[in-house]
Amino acid sequence: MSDSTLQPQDMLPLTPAVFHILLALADGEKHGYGIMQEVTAITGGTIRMGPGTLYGTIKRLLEAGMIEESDERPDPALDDERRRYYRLTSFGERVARAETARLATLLRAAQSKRLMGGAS
Amino acid sequence: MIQQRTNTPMIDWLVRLYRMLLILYPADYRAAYGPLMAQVFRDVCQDIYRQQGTLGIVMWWCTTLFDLALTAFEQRRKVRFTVSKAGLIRFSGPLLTAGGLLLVVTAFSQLQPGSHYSYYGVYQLLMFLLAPAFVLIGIGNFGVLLHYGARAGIFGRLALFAIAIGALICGIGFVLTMFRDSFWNIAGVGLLIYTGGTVIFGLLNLVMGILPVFKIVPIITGVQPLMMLTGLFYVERGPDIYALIFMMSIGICWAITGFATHNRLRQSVLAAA
Repeated sequence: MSDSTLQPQDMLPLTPAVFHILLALADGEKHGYGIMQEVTAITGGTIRMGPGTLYGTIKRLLEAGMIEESDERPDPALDDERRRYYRLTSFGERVARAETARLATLLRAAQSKRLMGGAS
Repeated sequence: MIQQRTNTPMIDWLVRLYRMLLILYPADYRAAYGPLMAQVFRDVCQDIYRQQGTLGIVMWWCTTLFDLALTAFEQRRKVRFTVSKAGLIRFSGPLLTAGGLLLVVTAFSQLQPGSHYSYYGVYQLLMFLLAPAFVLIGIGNFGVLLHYGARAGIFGRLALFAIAIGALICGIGFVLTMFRDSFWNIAGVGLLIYTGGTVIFGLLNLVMGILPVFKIVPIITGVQPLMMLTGLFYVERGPDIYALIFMMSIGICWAITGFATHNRLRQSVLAAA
């Protein structure tokens, strides 16, 4: 259960695993394996979470009220009905936006110092 | 769409082994997430086997083992802390009540006639109870800090911490005085910290009503020690009825605080059930 007094900024900075999962859920609900595939895709295959990290982080996000389990179950003909689907809560979305803004600020600072554009 | 299964004996065997290794996680966590983790492990095994063959599976297995060891340790550490924290909160009320009642009994030591600088008779017997009383109050206040810390604010938390630490030092100091008189200094330092904490927390509770007791109750636990430390009150020779009333009032106030804390906690547990 999330603490209603917490603001998105209180959760920052996020760990890479947390941000990756929030990012993976930003465009709709997914099950654990779907999240893992999405994370692998958005990191260009450089990160493949282990099941322990994936579900340990999911547990923390559920407790923090950033994601929730979806009540809807997939059509058994289309997917394994034993899977659990997760989606962002409005708080989780605000946290993801706040973290994105924080990272964007850092990125602008790195650009101004000419650190972008590949290592020489 | 359900993905095409690529079950090989090797994958089946690895999944069985992975399921067995899930025993490393705490039971609650395993019950909630174990089947899901095993399912994800199998899905990834099948994917990797299709794309990279046996070598890929070996690499994935090594990564998974490392991940399992790290996260199982993390979950076990978390459970241990959560259980000890919850236990301390649950027992804080009875601990404070017991500490308070011991202080009430100790108060009768002040009826001992003669010098209070030497230990003998009933005085000695009852003063032995002072050490466990303060230790119980100290530990109980750690539970109060954990339970009410969030609404007490930063100064309230610091004051509760001072009460807990001060009472523990006091308790240890009282025990040590049995071996050498100079150890009264340790008890004195503990009493100073305890008094600072009780006075500050007592004042905050008067304003904010942090604890589920009458607002005046917590500050009473610091009044007599404050008077003793400032020289406004001291007992050189007994019997002293005022000292008895002071000590007894501190004990009663801690007992009331403990009872109210326990009662409120029990109500919230019942409400949540």
